[in-house]
Amino acid sequence: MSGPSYYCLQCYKELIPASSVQGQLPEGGQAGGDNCPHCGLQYNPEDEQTFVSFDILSPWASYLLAFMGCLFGGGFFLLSTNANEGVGWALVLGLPICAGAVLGYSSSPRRFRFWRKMIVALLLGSGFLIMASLLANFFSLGGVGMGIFCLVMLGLVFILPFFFGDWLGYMIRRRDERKQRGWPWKGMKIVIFLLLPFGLDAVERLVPRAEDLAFVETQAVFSAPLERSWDSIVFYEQIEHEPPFLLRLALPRPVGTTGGKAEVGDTSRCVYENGYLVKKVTRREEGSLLGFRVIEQKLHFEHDLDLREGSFRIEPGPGPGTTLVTLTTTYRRLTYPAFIWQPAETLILHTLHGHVLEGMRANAERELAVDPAAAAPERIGRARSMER
Amino acid sequence: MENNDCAAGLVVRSRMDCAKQAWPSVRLSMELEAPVSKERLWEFVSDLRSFLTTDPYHRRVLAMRRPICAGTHLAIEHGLLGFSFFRFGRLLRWQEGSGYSVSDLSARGCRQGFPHVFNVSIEPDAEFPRDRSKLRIEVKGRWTAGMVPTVLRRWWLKFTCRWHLRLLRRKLEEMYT
Repeated sequence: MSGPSYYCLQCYKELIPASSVQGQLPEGGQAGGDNCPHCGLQYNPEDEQTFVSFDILSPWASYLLAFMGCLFGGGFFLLSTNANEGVGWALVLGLPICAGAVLGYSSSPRRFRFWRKMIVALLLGSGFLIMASLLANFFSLGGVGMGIFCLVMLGLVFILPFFFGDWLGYMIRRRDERKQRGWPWKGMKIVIFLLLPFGLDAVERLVPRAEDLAFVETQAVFSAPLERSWDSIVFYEQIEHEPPFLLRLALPRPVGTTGGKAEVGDTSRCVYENGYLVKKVTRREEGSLLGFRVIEQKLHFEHDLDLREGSFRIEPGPGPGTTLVTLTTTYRRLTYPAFIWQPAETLILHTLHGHVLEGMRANAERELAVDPAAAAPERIGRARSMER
Repeated sequence: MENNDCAAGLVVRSRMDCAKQAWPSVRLSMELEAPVSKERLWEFVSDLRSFLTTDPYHRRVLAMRRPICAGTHLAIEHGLLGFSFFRFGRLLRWQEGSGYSVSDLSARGCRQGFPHVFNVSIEPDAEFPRDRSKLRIEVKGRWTAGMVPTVLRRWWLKFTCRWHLRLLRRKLEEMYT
């Protein structure tokens, strides 16, 4: 450890740089004591209770701590995203709070500025990922179990808990310094912060979690009569138009459909660029409802969503010669806490739905394009999502 | 409020008054009658570390300079709901043998976090000046938590005052009866 520095008990501003001549006492102390130059509080250089001393970590101790943080954080990240069923509270809140607490606890009142903390947070996040990748390769686990989109989301979600943990760690350190605790005690606290996410994860897994089903519904208005819209859904095969930005960026891009939907029991295979979805028709009401169950899913977000079933519902549209098509997907939620992830899930599924419905609408309206009576195409309509 | 178990001569009598409150100012007063002379009572009262920590929320009192005299800064460690924190103040007045005043202010500033002043005074009893004396503690402050409902504020002040009085009475009884 590097030498201690001295701070005011009230404002936690540095009193005066530590004197090597006087050894353990702040410089400038007069016989009767001195005043803090910032807040004016008196202190007595000969009475250690009247000021706070912080041991500052040496650069090597800081590097070691950063490495330990990355090792434990990366290990936990890997465990949470790969070995467990899904992302939970321990990863989303426990890990950033504990990582922030380690940073805050090892800080002195001469703290970094906000932007420096942001850089540290980014470096720490990158360190987690690098360490998780190394560990995954070492143990042949095959990756960190998360795509770019989820990692970016997770990074954004991490920011607030990280800074809360930083503040919490700093407050605990201040309290320990006031009580003049030694380094064995402080070291134990740091180890607790490093191990706490594992403990939280274990507790989280002990608590039974009910199957959490949710659904997302997207509606589109086709400028085509009901029968033609129905046919465009049932005989839909190939998506030819450009996908939206989100799908191009990181999500599985639907390509087309093979197989039949003519009768109940038929299976169809929705092909994506990096995977597929096998669906079995479970309900078919000619011209109004096509329901299906997902029997196989391989879309690279199996850790986040477990797709269960879906349906196309067809109703007369708002205008003459139009059809309202509602695509619903029911899924089992695997990422927690739900209030953080649900907006992302809704956005992803709406984007996917919108892309598929756009292709079907184009199919339905294509043949009408030569018909001068055909109305101008309407854009995809309102969408909603709900929890079940 | 007055305690009723004060029939015998060696019993400490106590009384508190927290009825007159005009928001945001807070005025509380506690009075204890101890079966000892003023000089003996002053021995206890003048020991700041012991006397000021006979308070429900005061854990420790640090004098920032020695010897203690009027103007000396004090750091008072408070404990509330399992959390401990420092508040700061000064010894505002010191009248040897008869009383003193201490301020108790938040670390965030003198207008934040219920700033208050303790006025402590002792005087001999009018009837038995050698055998009995009165200890009077007045707390004057400013209530800054505007969001707290009046009912809760009143209850809190009364609860704290009663608790403080009970601690003081117990201490005096331990020492002098």
